[in-house]
Amino acid sequence: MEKETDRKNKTEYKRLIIGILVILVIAGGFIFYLSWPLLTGTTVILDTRPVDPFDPLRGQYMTINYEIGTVEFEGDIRQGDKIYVILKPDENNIWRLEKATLTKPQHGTFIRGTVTRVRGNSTNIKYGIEQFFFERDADVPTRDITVEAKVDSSGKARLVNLLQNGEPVQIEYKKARLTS
Amino acid sequence: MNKKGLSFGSIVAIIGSILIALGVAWLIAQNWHQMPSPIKIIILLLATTGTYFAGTMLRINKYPGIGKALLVLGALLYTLSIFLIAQIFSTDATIQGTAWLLLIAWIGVFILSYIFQSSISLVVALIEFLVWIVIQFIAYSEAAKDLLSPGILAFYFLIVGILLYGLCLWHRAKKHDFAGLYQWWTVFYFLAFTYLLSFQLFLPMLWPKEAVVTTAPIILLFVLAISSIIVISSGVVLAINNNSAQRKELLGMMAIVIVLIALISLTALTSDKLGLCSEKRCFDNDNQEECESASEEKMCLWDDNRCDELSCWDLKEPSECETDERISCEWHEGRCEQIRCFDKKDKELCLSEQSCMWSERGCVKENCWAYISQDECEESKLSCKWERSSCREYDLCSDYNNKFEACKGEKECKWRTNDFNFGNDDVPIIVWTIWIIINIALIMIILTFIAYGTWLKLPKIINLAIIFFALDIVTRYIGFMMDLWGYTSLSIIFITGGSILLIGGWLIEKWRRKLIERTKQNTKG
Repeated sequence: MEKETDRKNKTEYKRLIIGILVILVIAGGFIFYLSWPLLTGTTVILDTRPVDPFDPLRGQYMTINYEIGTVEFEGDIRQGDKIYVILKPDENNIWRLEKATLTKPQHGTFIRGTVTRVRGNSTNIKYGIEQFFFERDADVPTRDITVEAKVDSSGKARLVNLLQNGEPVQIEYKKARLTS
Repeated sequence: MNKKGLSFGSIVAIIGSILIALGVAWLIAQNWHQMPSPIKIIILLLATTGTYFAGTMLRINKYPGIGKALLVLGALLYTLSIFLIAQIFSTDATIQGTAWLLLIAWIGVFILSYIFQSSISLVVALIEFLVWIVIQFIAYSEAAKDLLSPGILAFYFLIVGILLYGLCLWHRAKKHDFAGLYQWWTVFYFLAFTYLLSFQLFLPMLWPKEAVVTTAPIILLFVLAISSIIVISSGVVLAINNNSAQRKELLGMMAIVIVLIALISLTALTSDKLGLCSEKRCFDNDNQEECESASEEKMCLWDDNRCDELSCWDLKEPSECETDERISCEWHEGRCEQIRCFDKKDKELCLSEQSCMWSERGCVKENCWAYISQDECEESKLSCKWERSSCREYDLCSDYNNKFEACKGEKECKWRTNDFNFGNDDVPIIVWTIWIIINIALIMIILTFIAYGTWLKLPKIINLAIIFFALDIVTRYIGFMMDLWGYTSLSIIFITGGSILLIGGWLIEKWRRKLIERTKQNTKG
């Protein structure tokens, strides 16, 4: 009877170890995938169109529209196409559009996006960094905002920070209460 | 059997532990925004793994109930951790982004449910899987910026049902603990699916004429289909070899699947039969040519790659604002605005404005609702119609409701597959016919599963099927009530329907108890 119990307990321990390993492998792999641009990427500062503060149902985040979110592109392009925007810094170190291309550039700093809408020559693009999450009851400034992001060698971008006048934004948090 | 009870001291200690845990959680929550991202991730992973650890320890130490609960909590914490990690990295917040997160979540929970042998975690995984399918389909629709046929989603669900049954056969052949759960879920799933299909309002929505087909959803359909074919084929082979399922059962399930495929395909006949035909607005015109050829009354302007209605704000000069004959505007405080009829207190002044009219409420913007007599209503220059003792806006295109070809033939009209059509007297015969066929099929499937539960001596399956039977009756009753509304008095409907439900409920309960009793007797015998 005791041997049986010992055997069962050993099985439970084995399951626990395997289970924890599975969690760490999946979560770890996910974190590694998300961190890759942050670890290996080039830092770019991007200008924003008026930031759209949004009080969402799902999580707390704001929508950011980028200057490079709408580009003029002449050529055969459709919604859903991958597009590469080559960036070049200006005198204020804000990275601006130099050129947009459908093929991956061989050199230079570029960011990869997906075409969301085409109207004539005007192309709307999403880069996956259009949202900034923050905690509840936070006061996030929305004027004169630029975004610090990192882009890796494949053009995938990850948002690092919001900047205001070149400095990280100061987010004011309201005091949490027991009833909040 | 030795049952370990909890001493008073242990209970106090547990309460103390819970309070400490709550305090720590509150401290973390208050300071979450100040924590660096790595610390946040470590906290999330510790919480998840810690919960699984506690659940396992409790199971080992003979508290299986609490242990089970903690394992489920672990599965939920794992799912939440995936979403919170995504938030920390500010990942894509679109529907496709959410779909990717759900995919990672359900795969992880599914694997963990097998590792920890937790059936409730498996239920969580199945629910997350179904949610993922729906979210992914919506993401495909959003990417297409156009309507995808919901019929494809119906096929997704059907294929998932086949997959569930295949997994059920596998587990029964291996005598795995999850066999019963898969069996119950398969029955529940097919019943729920057929029940949803029995709603008349869904029928024309499955294959709308204006829907598009794109590659991505078809690829997912193929992947799901191939997976389910592999699982069901191997499940059938295993079941036959192990005698864990009889041919009768396998043929019965195959028949149900074929019937459901036929029903989903049959709904395509309703695709252009039920819909609303309404007047096109300017923004319904997708290109400059269509925009500029729209009727003058609509005042459509092509600007910045879209077709918009001319508004007073488009007129930037006082002279053009006040003299443009197409639109009634006035220059006010440096900008061109629509004439505010309410400000005109004098009747003559009011009537001098083209877009205003004098009513008992004073000067109001001309609209159909302001006309209180049938003569005034029908003589007005607006498109008004006298209906149910009031004057309403009349959409000329509404004459073509439920007439797809005629509607499409009108340049100024647009078709929308009807998604909500209470009290519509013009439901075509074909829609009624298919609806009746589906409801008959639903009853037959319910009865099949009752027979299945009786045959295999499974009270849970019998109860489940009877619940759906009762649900079907109540739903149809509510439907008939809504259809008969206006044709007979509400009291008669309630009394008649209520009596039917009362007697029916008693008969169903009697029938259910008889079946369960018979099942139990056969089991004992």
